[in-house]
Amino acid sequence: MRTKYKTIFILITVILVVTGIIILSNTKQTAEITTVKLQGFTKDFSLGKIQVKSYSDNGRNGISFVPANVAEMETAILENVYYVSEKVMNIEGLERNGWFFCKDNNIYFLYESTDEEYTLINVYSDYETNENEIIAFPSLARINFTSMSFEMAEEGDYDLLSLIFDNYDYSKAKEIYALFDASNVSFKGAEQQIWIRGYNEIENDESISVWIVLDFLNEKIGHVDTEGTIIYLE
Amino acid sequence: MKKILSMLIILSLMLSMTGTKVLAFEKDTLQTGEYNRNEASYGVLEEEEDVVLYLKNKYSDYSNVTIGNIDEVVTKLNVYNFSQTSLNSYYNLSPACEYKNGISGTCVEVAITMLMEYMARKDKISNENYESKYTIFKMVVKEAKSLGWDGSGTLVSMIDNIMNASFENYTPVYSANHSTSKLLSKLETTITAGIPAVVNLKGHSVTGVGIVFVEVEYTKKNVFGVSTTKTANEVFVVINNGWYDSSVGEYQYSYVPIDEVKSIEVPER
Repeated sequence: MRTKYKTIFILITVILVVTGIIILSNTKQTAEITTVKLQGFTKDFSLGKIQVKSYSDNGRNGISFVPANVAEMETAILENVYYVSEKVMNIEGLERNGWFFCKDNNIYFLYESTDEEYTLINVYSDYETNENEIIAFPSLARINFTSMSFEMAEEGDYDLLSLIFDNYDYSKAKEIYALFDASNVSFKGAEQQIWIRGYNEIENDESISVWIVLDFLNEKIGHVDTEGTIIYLE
Repeated sequence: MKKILSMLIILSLMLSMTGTKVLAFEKDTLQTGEYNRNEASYGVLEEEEDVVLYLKNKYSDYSNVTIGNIDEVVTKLNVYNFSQTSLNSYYNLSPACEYKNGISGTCVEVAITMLMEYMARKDKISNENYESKYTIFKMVVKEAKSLGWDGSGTLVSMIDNIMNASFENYTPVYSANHSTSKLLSKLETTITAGIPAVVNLKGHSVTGVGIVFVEVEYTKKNVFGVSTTKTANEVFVVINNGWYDSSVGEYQYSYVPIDEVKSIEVPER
């Protein structure tokens, strides 16, 4: 009789442990899917709170998460007032399919980063001036235009500028930047240039801005110096 | 009955092994990349001006606050700063890329690369195949992959293993010593000896390359209203944050209060 009770007790314990483990391993949590704007790198754009299996906040590199329910995430995307369209964007060298948002002169992109994981990022590029200032500007790809990134491209035998200019001509790029306020972008149709306001990333002072020039005619990138001259990266 | 019991125990063990990964994953810290400077709790202060602002804020409840100069206690090592975005793009576009979704969240791999590039440049370690940032980064990613890294974010518990596997490629062979205590003295010892360390913040890893002190004088009133002038020595670790590319001849340091450092990996022979 005692053995029978002992067996029943062990059986119940085992069932409880197994149930507990199953519940714990499937725990869902609610997380606000939000990331930073490049003016000051404070949290700004949000998809709202959704159910996730896990998430990690990567600061300037966005937020990665595994949604508990993809349909819920897709609803949050389509209902977001800043949602623009589905899009293909180059993120750190790879073409990614995803959803494109624009809020307050910032470009945001949500894409499937691994098999189950999604990442929401601010799409900006670092640009290094001839005075070694690092300027962050809203970009058409998440890549850098610094002396070191050009050196890496040479070593890796790829063309950094082609990641922009092979994917966008003036009119396609204009469609995106037309979502910005007039004070943050300027279109020079005759020269096929788009001037975009960027900010010193290290000084992190919103009052210090620099115009970054995307020149689609010559497929070059540059900035406007204090004299008003365009200095192109060579 | 015994058979059913044994089957249930085996089943529970199998399920608990699956669950262990999830639970262990949650206990361990995922080091994913970059932080927002405005969230002060994360600790990274990008310039000396930010150190002063941080201290002004910290001592804002006291009067007559005087913040001294930033004194370099241990001379900064000339470690280059590499941006994760630049190195990830380089790797993802390289034929060496072994991840179909590419790599991301590589603060740990970049911190190790910055450390090893410095050690190789200063002839502390030697292997002619792994001297440049390109070859070192690819090697570190390869070693991480061989240890099961999935290409996105790295658990703290993996860092010393990745470093040890990477150090195996050099002579002399160093090994990484993971520490969670006496961090300041260990950092001081290693940096003074010319060896940087990997410094782990909450969710982000960087390379520790120096130590600075700032003397703060302030007046504190006790409950009876009596004022006393006090002095505090604030300690900051000088780091390369992995956010920007160094320009030629510039190293781009930032700072982190010692209290924000959760653990370190020190290379030792």
